[in-house]
Amino acid sequence: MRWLVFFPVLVIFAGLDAGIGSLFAISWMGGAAPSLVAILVAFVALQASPRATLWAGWWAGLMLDVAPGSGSGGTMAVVLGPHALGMTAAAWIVLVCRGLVFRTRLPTLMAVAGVVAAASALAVTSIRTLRFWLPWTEAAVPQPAVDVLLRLCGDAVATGILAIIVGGVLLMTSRWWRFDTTPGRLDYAGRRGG
Amino acid sequence: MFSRRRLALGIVLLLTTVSALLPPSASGWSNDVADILRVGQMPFARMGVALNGWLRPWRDAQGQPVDPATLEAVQAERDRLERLFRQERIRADELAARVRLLESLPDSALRAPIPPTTLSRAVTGRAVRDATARIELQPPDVGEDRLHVGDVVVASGRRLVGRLERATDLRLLVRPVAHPDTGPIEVALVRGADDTTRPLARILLQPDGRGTLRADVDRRVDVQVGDALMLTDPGWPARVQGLVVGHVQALEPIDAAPLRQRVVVMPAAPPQSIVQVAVVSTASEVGE
Repeated sequence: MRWLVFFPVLVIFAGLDAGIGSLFAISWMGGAAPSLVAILVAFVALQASPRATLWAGWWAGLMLDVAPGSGSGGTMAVVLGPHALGMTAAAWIVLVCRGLVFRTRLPTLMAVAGVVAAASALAVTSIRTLRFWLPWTEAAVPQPAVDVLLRLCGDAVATGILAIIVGGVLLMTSRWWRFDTTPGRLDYAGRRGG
Repeated sequence: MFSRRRLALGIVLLLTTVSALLPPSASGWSNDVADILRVGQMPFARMGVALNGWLRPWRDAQGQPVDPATLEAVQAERDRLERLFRQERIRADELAARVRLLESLPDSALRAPIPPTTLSRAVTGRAVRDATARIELQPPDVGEDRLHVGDVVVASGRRLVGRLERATDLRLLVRPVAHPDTGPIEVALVRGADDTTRPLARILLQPDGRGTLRADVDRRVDVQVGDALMLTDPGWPARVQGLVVGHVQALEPIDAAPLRQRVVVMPAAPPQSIVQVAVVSTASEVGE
């Protein structure tokens, strides 16, 4: 994978996520919002090599950890790690199941982007809950489980819908990324047949 | 076997996990890292915010659009309240530290006719590594008349710092206990700071000019590194007796006197570690 393409796109997406996140926020679903970074991670995780996928997930999560407005608590301290671990876990989940899907199709990217958004949000929530239980972190009280689940579903659906446009654009630029993995099993079979 | 690349990823993930669980006080560096990493994001975040404001104008609680001037005024008010909140928070932390410091003082010090005064260390250009250097304190806003030369200065946890050497409206100087001018101090050797009822021996400590205090004691006295030394000097005010002067740092043989050994004592409150102190007045005893 071309990291020189990945990093600029990641920075742009992370910045836009921080800026326009509230524009698409669904208030009755706990402020659920689509994530451009999740779409990017899904796009990369479907096509890049396993090692590049995990690193891309980590970097994407790190950029979300440091995104403007990410500070929390009375000191507005930035906690590095929750999103980095969450996105890496989400990328790993895609790695595990990507052999079963058509990797370069838009519906696949939409579904996987939703999975990435939900999985990373679940991981981040888990880490924040763990921080709350640790006596030394002074973390904020986590939200009720129902609200969290509602927001996870909202994140997934909103990200999947946004992936119709953003994912389509990303798929059109696939050649620039130089993903060096072999095509998915079914894609390969389809090519041979066609 | 793990390849180097997998190992690198594993180590990075392990460090990330540790970072994610660190307390806020230990992750102050993360704000600096974040400031560097988010530089590239800022222009796009601003673009996003501008686009957001254009597509979805701000509305008040009744759903009416808010004009930009009102919005700016509200934002300015919000920033002012946030600054006030931070200032009050700092002030509250400072007051809490003072209360903790006063609570740690001996009861006799609190029963003095003039109550103890808490002071912070002034930021000066002095050589903080010089353990015998005098410590400059910030004069209090009110109540400077309660401070007198000779008052005893105590740090948290009943640790003796020294005595007030100069007390003016502009300057408060403390002579630390390890300063050569302090002179000999009589102390009681106790095993652990908690067991103060059975002193192992009484010792006359002498500042050595190098930031520590020394005493030559009988080799038969069971002295161990880490033992505490409590003030029992009749030359010091009665209400500060029992404060911790220091801890045994080392035991050295004396070639000229094989039946004795030299005890090296590190002051309990080294000047470089002083942040806030309490001044226990000796005013009533001056007249006695």
